[in-house]
Parts: sequence; structure tokens; C-alpha cells
Amino acid sequence: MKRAAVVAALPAVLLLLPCAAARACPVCDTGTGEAVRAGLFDAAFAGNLAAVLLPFPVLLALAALTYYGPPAPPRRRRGRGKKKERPDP
Amino acid sequence: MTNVALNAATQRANLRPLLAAGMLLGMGMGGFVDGIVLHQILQTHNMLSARVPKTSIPNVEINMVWDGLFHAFVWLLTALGIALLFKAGRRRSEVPWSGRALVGAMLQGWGWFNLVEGVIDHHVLHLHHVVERLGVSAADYVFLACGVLLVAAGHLLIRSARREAGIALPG
Repeated sequence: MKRAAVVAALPAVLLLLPCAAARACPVCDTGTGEAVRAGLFDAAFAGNLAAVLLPFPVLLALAALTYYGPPAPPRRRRGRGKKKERPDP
Repeated sequence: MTNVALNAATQRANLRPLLAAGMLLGMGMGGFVDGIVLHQILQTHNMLSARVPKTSIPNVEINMVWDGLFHAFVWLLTALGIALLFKAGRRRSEVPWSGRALVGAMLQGWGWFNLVEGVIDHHVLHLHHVVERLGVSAADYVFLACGVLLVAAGHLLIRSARREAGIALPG
């Protein structure tokens, strides 16, 4: 039971270790961390998010167009079709 | 294979799943080239460096967060490309397995990434520019030109792969 609790807590500990060392990460409880959070989640956040993500729907639409586009017409082989009959003179 | 069987296989042949997979992989890898080389190694710009200039540690970190979000979505494009490639691999009877078509689609994907990201982020929204201290500069146009060249090179490779597989345009 104890071992399971330690294993479960390990990811959280690993996440917090570099945080304590960096002191300036966005999730750190420091002055710099607060400044980063304030700069991120300001009035422009929604606009910035939309702007950063805007190219991705366009790129996905291009890939979807490639995937779902009209099927290819069968290729005609040269010289295999029936020759047109010449009208009798 | 008899002529009849060959003809039926050619009529069923559909490169689209392979091309879509390659295109997504190219978009993803092109995005990683931009993010890794220009954002991280050379640091000529970051995701929002035109809006949030990198003049202080908090501003550098804010840009780093937006760079991370960009990389996350580029990763998703790549993952989707791998999934589609796997799916195409399971339909080998109808999807011609052509390395040339895959590389061509990847080049096209990279090119489309440059064009779409370049036009939207560099020229329309001005989120950042290739060399941020210069603003809109020749480097932004070189970025777009690379996109056009990559799309054209990819198109040539795909056309040659189609000829090889005997598939008519545009499938």
C-alpha cells in the first residue's frame, strides 16, 4: 500500500523538483512566475490563442481535401480504344 | 498478374490515403524544423515575439509557453500522419505503396506549412517574423518561396509516382 502511494506521488514530485530549481517557470510560486502568468492570461489571451492556432485548421483542411477528394478517373490506355470508322466515300 | 487483373487493380488504386498521411507528416516535420531551428536553436523569433518582445525574462517565458503550444499542435499533426500511414499500410491491396509518393507528399506538406504559417502568422496577423529584429523582411519572403519550391518538388515526385503506378490524376 505504501509502495503504491510512493509510486503514485512520484510524477508530482518529479514535476515539482525542476520547478523549485528554475524559480521562473509559469507554474512556479515566484515573482517571475507570477509575472509570466499575468502576461499569459491577460485580456489578449483569447486573441493570442486563436491567432496561434489559426494555421492548424487550415492545414488540417488541406490534408482532409487530399484524403476525401474525388476519386481518380480510370486511366485510359493509348491505342486500346476502338478506332473511329471512316464513313464510306 | 494478367492484364484483366492488372487493369482492375489499377482502377482500384488510390494514392489519396498515402498522400494525406505524407502531407500531415510533412506539415508536422516542417513545423518542427521551424520550431526547433528558428525558435530554439537560432532564436531569430518566437511564437509571439512581435507582440511580446523578448526584452525580459517573463516575456521570454511567455513566448516559450506559446512556442510549446505550437509544438503540441505540430506534434498532433505528426501523430495523425503516423495513424493515417498505418491505416494506409493496412489497405495495401488498393493503396500503392510508393516511397516516391510518400516523400513527395511530405515535401508538399512541409511546403504548405511554410505557406500557410508564413502568410497567416508573418504577413496577416504579424505574430512574429522570421528575423524579428528586422520585422517583415526578405527572410519572410524566402520562407514563402521555400514553401512554393517544396510544394512544386512534391508535386513532381507525386506525378512521377502516379505514372509509375498507372494512376490517372487527380486520385
